[in-house]
Amino acid sequence: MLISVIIAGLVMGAIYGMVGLGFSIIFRASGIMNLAQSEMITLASLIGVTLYQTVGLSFWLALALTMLIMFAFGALLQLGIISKYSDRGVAGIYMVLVTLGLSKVINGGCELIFGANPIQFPSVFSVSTVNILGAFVTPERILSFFLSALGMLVIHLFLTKTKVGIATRACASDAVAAEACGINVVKSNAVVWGLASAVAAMCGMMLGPIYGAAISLGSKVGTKGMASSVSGGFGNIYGAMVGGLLLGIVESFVGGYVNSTMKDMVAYLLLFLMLCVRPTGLFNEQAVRDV
Amino acid sequence: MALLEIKDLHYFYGNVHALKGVSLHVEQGEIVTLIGSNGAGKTTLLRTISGLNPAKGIRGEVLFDGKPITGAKGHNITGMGLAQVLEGRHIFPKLTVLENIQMGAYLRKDKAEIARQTEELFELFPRLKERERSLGGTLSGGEQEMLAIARAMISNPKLLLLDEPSMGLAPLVIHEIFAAIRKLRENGTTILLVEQNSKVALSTADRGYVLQTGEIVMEDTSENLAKDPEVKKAYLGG
Repeated sequence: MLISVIIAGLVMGAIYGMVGLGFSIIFRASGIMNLAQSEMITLASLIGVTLYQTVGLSFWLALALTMLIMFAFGALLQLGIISKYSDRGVAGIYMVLVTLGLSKVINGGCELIFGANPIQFPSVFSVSTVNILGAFVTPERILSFFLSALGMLVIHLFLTKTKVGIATRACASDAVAAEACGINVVKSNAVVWGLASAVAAMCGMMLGPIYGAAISLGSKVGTKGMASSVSGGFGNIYGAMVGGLLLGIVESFVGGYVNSTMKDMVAYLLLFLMLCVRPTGLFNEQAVRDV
Repeated sequence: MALLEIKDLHYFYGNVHALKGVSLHVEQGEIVTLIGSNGAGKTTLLRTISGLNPAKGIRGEVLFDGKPITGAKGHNITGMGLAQVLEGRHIFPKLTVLENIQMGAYLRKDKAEIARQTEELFELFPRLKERERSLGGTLSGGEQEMLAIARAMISNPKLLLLDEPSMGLAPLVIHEIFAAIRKLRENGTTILLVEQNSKVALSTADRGYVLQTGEIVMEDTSENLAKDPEVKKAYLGG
């Protein structure tokens, strides 16, 4: 029991962390709380299941293609819509309304194209469960955990080792100085939105086998992801992952040992209390930055 | 042909008329300074030249290397060989010294040459070399100014715009920074220097302009400006 509770917590926690990562990287780059991020997951899971089941691609090819499509979609959203608002000087808090509108449009669009009924996401592996130290876990969940870890590592390397990645951090910390360095800040933000959308694509493909692909998927995990990133210190990508794991484990323990209907309440209550102790989240970069 | 030529340049922040028909020129190899008190429009002028101010407020013409650059985007202007050190330094605090310099070389692809020039800049500013792995935000004010200059110079500019390099620095550090600025000119960089510290600016520059509430009110060699009774009274403390 203990082991399966821990494993379930780690798996969901890692996914929440990835969902939260999507919120965090956009916030740190442009100070925008992107409420459309959850619906990007919905869209991605529906595109993914279509490529995987209807078109008949292999899971990996469908994953890669979904990430690519979502990257382009996210980048175009930034170039075509978000940057137009920022150019007019619309401040971060008002941008929330723009992203809220976007989330409704994306969700409505998904319903129009893919229908309101959930689509069964076919399993990825032929074995149904794997035995880990006596706990039976679906291989899709194990895959989700390792995909999340891999995604985190790739994003870390991108942001710290590549010129384009470092430039996104430069733009995030000082857009005027970045522009003076010759960096196209609008393009750099498009890369960030593309990246966040590719992360959403990964989340959609990981959550599909767990919850099924449905237009309600985004709202189901979106708040969890947002809670993960905020509790970890909004804008800190590593914090999002830690926050996600924390939320996943607490939720899993409450669900396993107390009552599964209470798991959300207790998990959020704990985050709520944690903010009391650490008002800026666990690892807030902003607080360090503003020396 | 002047490297930089500005003809009747106006800038509007909404209804605020910040630059009122500024004309000036900077010749190849010169250090030209622009002095004036707080709010005279010095920073506005530099940011309008370099494309960092919204283009819709611009009237008039800026020619760089003979080509009109009026209203072009900031990152494109940097790519043409016009670099700017911003007022208040604006280094990236969460990036290391080396990463800051790497960002200055963002548009360049010649890695080996960038590495060689980085070493040259470290010779000019040895303190940066010692701190190459430190985060920009942990540097002292003087070191941050050096980093800001190094970050601008690594883009290989034909023209360097310097905005208040002496701001908030101790006299000894100012001396060190201006010695480096003279050395940059010896190596072939043309410089347009904006300063509130008129004394050090006039002692470094060849020529100067005096900007007052958005207008050029005086223009002469630095030597003559430093001797001018009005300049003395208004900007050199009598």
